[in-house]
Amino acid sequence: MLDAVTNLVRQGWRNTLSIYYANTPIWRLLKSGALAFLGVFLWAGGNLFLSYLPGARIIDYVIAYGVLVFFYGPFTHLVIIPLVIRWRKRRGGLRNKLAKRMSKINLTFFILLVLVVGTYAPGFMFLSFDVASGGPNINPELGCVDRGDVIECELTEAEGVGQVVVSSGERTLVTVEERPYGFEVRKDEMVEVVGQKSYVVEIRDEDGEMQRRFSRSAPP
Amino acid sequence: MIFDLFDNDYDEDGFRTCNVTGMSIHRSVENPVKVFGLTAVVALVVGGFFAIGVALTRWEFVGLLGPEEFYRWLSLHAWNLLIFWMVFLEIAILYVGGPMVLGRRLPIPKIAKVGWGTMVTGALVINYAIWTTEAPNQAPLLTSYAPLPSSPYFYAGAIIFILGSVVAALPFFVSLWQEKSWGEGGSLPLVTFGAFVTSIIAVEALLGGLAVMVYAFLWRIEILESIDAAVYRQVFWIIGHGTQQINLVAMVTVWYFLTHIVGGAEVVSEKVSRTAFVLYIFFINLGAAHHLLSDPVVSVSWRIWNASYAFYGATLASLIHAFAIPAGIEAGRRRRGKGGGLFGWLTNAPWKNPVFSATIFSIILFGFVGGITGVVMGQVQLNMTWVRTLATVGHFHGTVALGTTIAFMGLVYFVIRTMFMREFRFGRLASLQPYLYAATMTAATLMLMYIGLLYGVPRRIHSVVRDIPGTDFSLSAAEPLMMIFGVFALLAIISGAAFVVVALASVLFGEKKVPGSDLVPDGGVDFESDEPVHKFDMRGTFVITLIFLGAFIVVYIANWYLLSQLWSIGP
Amino acid sequence: MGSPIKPPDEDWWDVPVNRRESIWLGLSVAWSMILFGWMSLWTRIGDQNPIGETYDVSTEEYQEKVESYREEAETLDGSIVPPSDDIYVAGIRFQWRGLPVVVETGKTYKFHISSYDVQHGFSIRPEDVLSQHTNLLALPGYEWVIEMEFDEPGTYHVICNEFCGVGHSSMHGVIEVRDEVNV
Repeated sequence: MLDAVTNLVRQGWRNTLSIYYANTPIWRLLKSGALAFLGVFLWAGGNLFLSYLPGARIIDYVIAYGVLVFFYGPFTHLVIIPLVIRWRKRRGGLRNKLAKRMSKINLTFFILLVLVVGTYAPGFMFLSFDVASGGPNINPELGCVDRGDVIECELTEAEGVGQVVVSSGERTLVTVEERPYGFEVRKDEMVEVVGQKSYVVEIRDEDGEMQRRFSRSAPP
Repeated sequence: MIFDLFDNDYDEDGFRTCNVTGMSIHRSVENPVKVFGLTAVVALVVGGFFAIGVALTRWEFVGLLGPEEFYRWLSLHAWNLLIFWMVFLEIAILYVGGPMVLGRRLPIPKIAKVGWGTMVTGALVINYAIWTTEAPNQAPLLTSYAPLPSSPYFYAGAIIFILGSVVAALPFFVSLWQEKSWGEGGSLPLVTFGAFVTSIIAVEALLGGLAVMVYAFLWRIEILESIDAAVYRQVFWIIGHGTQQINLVAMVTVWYFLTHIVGGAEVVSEKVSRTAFVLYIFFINLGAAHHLLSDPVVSVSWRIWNASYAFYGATLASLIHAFAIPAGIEAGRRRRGKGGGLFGWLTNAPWKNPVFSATIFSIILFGFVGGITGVVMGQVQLNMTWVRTLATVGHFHGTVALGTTIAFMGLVYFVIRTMFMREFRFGRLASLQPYLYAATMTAATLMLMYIGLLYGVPRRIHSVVRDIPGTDFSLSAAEPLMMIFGVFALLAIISGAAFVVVALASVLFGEKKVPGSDLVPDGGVDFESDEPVHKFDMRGTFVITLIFLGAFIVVYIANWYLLSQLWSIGP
Repeated sequence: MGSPIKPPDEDWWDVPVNRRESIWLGLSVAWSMILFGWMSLWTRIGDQNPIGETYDVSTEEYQEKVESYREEAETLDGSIVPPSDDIYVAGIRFQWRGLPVVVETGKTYKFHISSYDVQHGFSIRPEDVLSQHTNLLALPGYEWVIEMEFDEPGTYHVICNEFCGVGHSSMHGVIEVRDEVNV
């Protein structure tokens, strides 16, 4: 039993190493892609977890790792390793010596970088999850009464309203630009669809931008 | 020149032997395959064009279109890519998987023509209906949210298109029937079997679609007085998701086909792979239920049973293919002496051949991006945090825009070389294109997912990030991710356009040449060796699938942890 | 042999399966069972389940219910204070009728969700942690009663995430969660 586990671990470690050292061009491309993928995953996922667990410092390191591996992973595989391979082919010299140790140097440097960045936690690697205040709240109430041939409507709490445009289908029926923004719509001017006559009341602000819309159907 | 496209060297009986696959191909099959394939590419061009407006509007930094135009463009993007590009090519796949692989003529060729004509008519009517949508009608998007009315022509077009698809599938069924009545007996080849399973699932989906579109059409032209929103949703998703299940099964069939021909893959276990296909027949269409998980009306046990495809029967099938297909490549290549270590079989494969690279990217990305997320969001409770957000859009861009589309791009490249017999124009671009598209579309897809999951940004909406009109609330915190999305969405569209350029330039202006041995894997398609394929080592595949399972488990646990931190919902 | 485009050998069912493929099959079956088991277990032990009774209701009936609920309720800073545990919400193009509403933390409310016209997506998130969001559906003709209990006070924004026509993007409402609600 113990033997089987030891074997499994040894085999797993050997597999890991053989993936780690694989360096044919397609491997380098696939690994770059996989590390970029992992980097984005950890960056976005880390930020997501941090929004649920504010103050969990350990997540800063996960995020730092994600951000760094996104850049450094492909950089290692597409730039450093080809360079190292070339240097190793040279005989002797400083470059050759460096190249032989480059794998460990590079990994150590990267881990240190993750620790430093994770510790200092610079703002650019964090996403924000709260609301930046936007425009004004325009929340008018539309009250309409059926008067037989016409529908009579009135707008209350009309702060911020600049213009009211009533349409049915593609046709504009009424435009109101003055308070109290009351209007009437004739039913025979309304377009009918699936057995219902309908009209749309669009509330625009002073600049003519749509703020609210009401789509109503008229009782027959 | 046009006729030149449909003329290969056939013998007196109209047959020729393909020197890549060894298949005996009849003119009556090959030409419809080309026609359906080209029509699919046209739909890809149209749908891809409308992607520009969709992406540049959702990227609110640009905010290209107003709401009415946006919903119109979104509808055209959805129908042309999700339906027309896919279904036209799937009919071609049925003809390849059926009569072509079986070495038969296409039976009832007139019916195939009628089917094609009807499908094209339906597609044109739908495009026209969407393009001319006027209030009070609303653009249908994909779903047409009854009781929200769409143009009556839209429902009529959908009915015509569905009928056309059923008609176009008929010759395939007849060819199977002929094979079974007059053939040599024995089992169908695996690709034919896969195509057959695809067609069964397709017919189920299309019948559901016919039912719902007739229902909606009758309501829309006021023969029925009202329409029940819950019934509409339930029946709609039989086709709405069913079509995506057709894509999935067709894609898996294409994987078996292309990995064999251009990668030297072999079927490591007919028993296991066929069982997986049978699981699809029984269970995969139940999956449509996951569109109703966060809805009222349906009961808890109904949700759990169906969302789990009956105990995850269909997921199990996909997990089986996830092993069987790479294992096929591994064992097949090892058998040809192209092994070498854990992953030598993979790295010494023909990565410059776009047919091969496209197929592999399709497999990897479908699994890691589309597959995992699909199962996660299909869990009844997790669904609440995914559904109707951009995360869902991310999921199906993982399955359709990455998985199926890339596989089908590979298939089109293959058809260009072996059936149109053209050399690629812009050969270097052809080799690079799958890499570019896979990379950029993956980035865009991941951003959609993260924007949806991290910020709950809805799908099917014109603007919500920079500004929700009339309120002080917005989801502007999502802007940094949206910027990344916008850039990569554009790059993905450009990479998709590169495919169209290469494909059309090759078909129209490529050098006509019988494909050479560069398409055939080391040792040839018909490599024979005494050693049975299941005895070859599959440890490379095993490692890959374990990594996949590990990623799956991590994503699963993370999603559940986050859900458990929400406020309490339900009893 | 081994080709997917040729008929398989006669005895294909009896060909043995590679050991690693068998192990993978075992893992896959186990994982499928876990997926299923955990999902069904969570409906019993979990606090987040999209589960509640649905009742048939005509849009007119539901309108009456919502309007009489609104009349009965008192208001606090412009928000509705539900008179009991029941909260009524209706989607109507392009508003959330019944919102804004103010609720207490730690108290279980029954949200009645429906629509006066077309399908609407009932999508909630607190404004300080946008990553916590939940999405339910409002269907015309059906009244869905689903319980909710908030534990964190704050402003929860409701937007519509199912396409309901041009104007869809302007639909917005608020659920105000407070530790104590005193009218």
